[in-house]
Amino acid sequence: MTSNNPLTARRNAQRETSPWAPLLGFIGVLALIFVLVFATGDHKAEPKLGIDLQGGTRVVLTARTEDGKAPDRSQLDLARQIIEQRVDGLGVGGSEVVVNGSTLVITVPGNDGKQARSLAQTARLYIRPVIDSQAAVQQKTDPNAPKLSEMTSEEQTAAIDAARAARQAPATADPNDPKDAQITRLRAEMAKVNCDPNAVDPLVGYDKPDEYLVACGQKDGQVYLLAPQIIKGTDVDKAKAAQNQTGQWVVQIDYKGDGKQTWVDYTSKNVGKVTATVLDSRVVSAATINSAIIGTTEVSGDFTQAEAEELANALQYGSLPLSFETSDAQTVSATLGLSSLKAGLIAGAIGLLAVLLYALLYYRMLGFLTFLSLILASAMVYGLIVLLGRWIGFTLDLSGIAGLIIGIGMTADSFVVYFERIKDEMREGRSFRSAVSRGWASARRTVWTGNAVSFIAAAIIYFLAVGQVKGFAFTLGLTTIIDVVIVFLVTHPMVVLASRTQFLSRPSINGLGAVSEVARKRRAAAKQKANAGEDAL
Amino acid sequence: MSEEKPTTVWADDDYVAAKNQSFLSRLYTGTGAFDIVGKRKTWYIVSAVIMLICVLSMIFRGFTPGIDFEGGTQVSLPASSSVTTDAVSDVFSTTLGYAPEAVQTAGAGDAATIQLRTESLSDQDANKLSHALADTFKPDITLSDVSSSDVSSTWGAEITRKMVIALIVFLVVVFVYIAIRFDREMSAGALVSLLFDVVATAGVYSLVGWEVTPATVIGLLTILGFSVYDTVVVFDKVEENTRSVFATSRRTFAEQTNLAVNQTLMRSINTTIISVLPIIALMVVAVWMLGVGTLKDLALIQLVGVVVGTYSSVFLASPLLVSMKERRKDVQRHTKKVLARREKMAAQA
Repeated sequence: MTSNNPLTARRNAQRETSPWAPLLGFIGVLALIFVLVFATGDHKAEPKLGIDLQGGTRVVLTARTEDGKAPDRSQLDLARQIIEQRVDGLGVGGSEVVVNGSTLVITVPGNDGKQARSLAQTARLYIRPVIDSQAAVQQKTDPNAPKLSEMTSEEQTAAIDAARAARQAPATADPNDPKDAQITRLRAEMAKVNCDPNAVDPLVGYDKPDEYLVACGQKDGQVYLLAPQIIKGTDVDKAKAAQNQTGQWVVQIDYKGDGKQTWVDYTSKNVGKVTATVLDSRVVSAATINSAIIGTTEVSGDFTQAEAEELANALQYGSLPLSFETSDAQTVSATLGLSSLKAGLIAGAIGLLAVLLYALLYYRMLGFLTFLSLILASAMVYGLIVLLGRWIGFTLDLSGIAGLIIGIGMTADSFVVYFERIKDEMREGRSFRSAVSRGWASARRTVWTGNAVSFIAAAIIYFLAVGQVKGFAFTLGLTTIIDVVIVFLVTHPMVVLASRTQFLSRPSINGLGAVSEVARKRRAAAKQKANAGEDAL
Repeated sequence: MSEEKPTTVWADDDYVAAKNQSFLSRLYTGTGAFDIVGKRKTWYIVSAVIMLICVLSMIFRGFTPGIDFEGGTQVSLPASSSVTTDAVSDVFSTTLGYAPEAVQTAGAGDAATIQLRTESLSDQDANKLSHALADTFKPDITLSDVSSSDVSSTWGAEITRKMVIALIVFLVVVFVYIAIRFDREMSAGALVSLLFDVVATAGVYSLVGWEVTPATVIGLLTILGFSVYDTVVVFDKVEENTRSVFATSRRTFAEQTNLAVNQTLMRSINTTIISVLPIIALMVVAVWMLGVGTLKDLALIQLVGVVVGTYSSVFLASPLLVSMKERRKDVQRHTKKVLARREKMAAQA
């Protein structure tokens, strides 16, 4: 009430919280972020970049189910694991496979990732009768042999063709004829195959199922001569790991469709013979048929529980109606990625500078505070992006950069709202100092409400939309949060400090001269009116 | 203009335009007293015309679907004196035996690229092509300079479907949020202006005729956020000004709303400028350095969206709010009371 009284005014000022506390708090948090940036991970202040910024290949695989329903999450996870193993096989560091909704996204940085485009095939499972088997002859694995990823696609195709020519023979070959040239050739080949698990086998996943095949056992150290497939993995209905009466781990398989009858017919005619379960051109298990199998088939192979489960999973996976379709495959050359990154950074810098110039022109001293706030906000966002890249694998891509740049404007808006409220208060005739605290009270609410809406928008887009949209929504959501932090902990305290400094409160410095002028004129007019009224009396 | 009979009655300083000041300074100091709410019929017509143009454009011009919505393969490589559209087209034809759908240059200077579009290529054909390109244009081009993008035709539909879901969820959540934070009329006003923004932005994009890419879709989604944000900021001031409007009979609801719009007008303009500056920078830099691409599409959508979003919160959402409020009995009663009081005072004087 009597705030004109200097004593009460001083007491009021003391009651206001010190603006230094939030400022120092913010600087502490910012310092902590950068300590974490440099003390954890690879100690480099570099965000994890998307392939559109560093070059590389990104493949989006969409799961397609037979009935068009959304695929089961566990099926997707399983697919991810299998595809991840294949990507690892390419030997490119920094590759990853993530599940995103009903899609799998494979990211392979650098120029060697083009092969990632062909990883989409379902794990290929076949049941093949075993014609012959023998212990694999130990071969020397050349550590310098080119990895698949180091071959050009042509070299790869050539390697696959060569392996097929060496280890496969057309279905017309006759294994019962000891003089059959093709079979003789394959038998000779059995001694030459390198079954070392570390050896590069270009044939993995690429064998022709309807031809004879020489294949290694996955873990039994055997090499097999196999007949053309009799049942495909897609004919597996269910597969699960279980323990039989003797406590051994086995895999129980139920076939469906044509495979079901084929299997009954085949097993009844071939009692005593061995059949192999072949997954991606490797023999997972080879077992003797003891009797005609009607119903569930038991595959026993000296499994541990984990192995049995893994095989059951693989069979189940191979049998899944879930197949993948390449929805979007993108290979960005490193040069293009780099220029995109440059473009984004230049645009960001120019944008920031333009905002600064405008703010200085329009708000003068307050514009300078805007700039300082924006710089601090940028530093915090940058640090967080680096950390989030490490912690939750957040990848900054082109659309994320766009989100950041657009975030500049939305962050600055909070300041505009605040400063305009200060102007409103001053137009009503208040001093700069009291306008600051009153303006803040109402601006604060607007900032909350506005940013809440922005955040809701970003969150919904992030969770519901696909692909590139996510990067954008993420950075926009992040800048929204940082915006609130900055306004509360940095901008407002700085404005309060400025309002307490005599120099900065000068209309020519704080840029609020015109508004003060309006207020002054209004007061004068009101006074005149009042005087005129008195005269009339 | 000021001689016309105002549809809203100005009663005090806040409602009289400071005539001795320039337009800009009236804007700056918030003493413009622009009669936006009073002339709302005009703004409805302006908005309707904009909507009509945009809808017609979308119907008749339609959109140019990008590769993500059509499906196909796009190969791009840096352009140089020897790497021209014709040369690239020739390499394609001799390698694969048929002509590509389109070959064009994008960007300029060092960043110029040749972009080739065709129906989906198999992995093998794509490889053959990139090897052929690298062989033909040695040493300008190495294999690693060739970028390519391969999209199935169903991908675009998937993106669109997800976007529609996101849009619906967003509308519901925002409607509820504003209805709780403010009131139902404001909620409705914000939604109408939101729809206006989306249609207008999409319409302008259709007029410009650029390809619709996932980036365009991203942009459109973020327009939602900005649009609602901007409307909420203006409504926040409206709410503040009209909170105790019934307590006195000095000003009508319409007048208080108009005052709020005037008081936030400079904020709206400033925010638009500040938001638009980085977007223009993004657009210029993206076009200059990258030619066609994600950044350019996003920038255009954002640019239009921000401007339209500001327009709609000032000239559509607030007038609509008043129109809706004036259908309410208590507001009508109050307006009558205010006007009656003014007549009495005028008679006394």
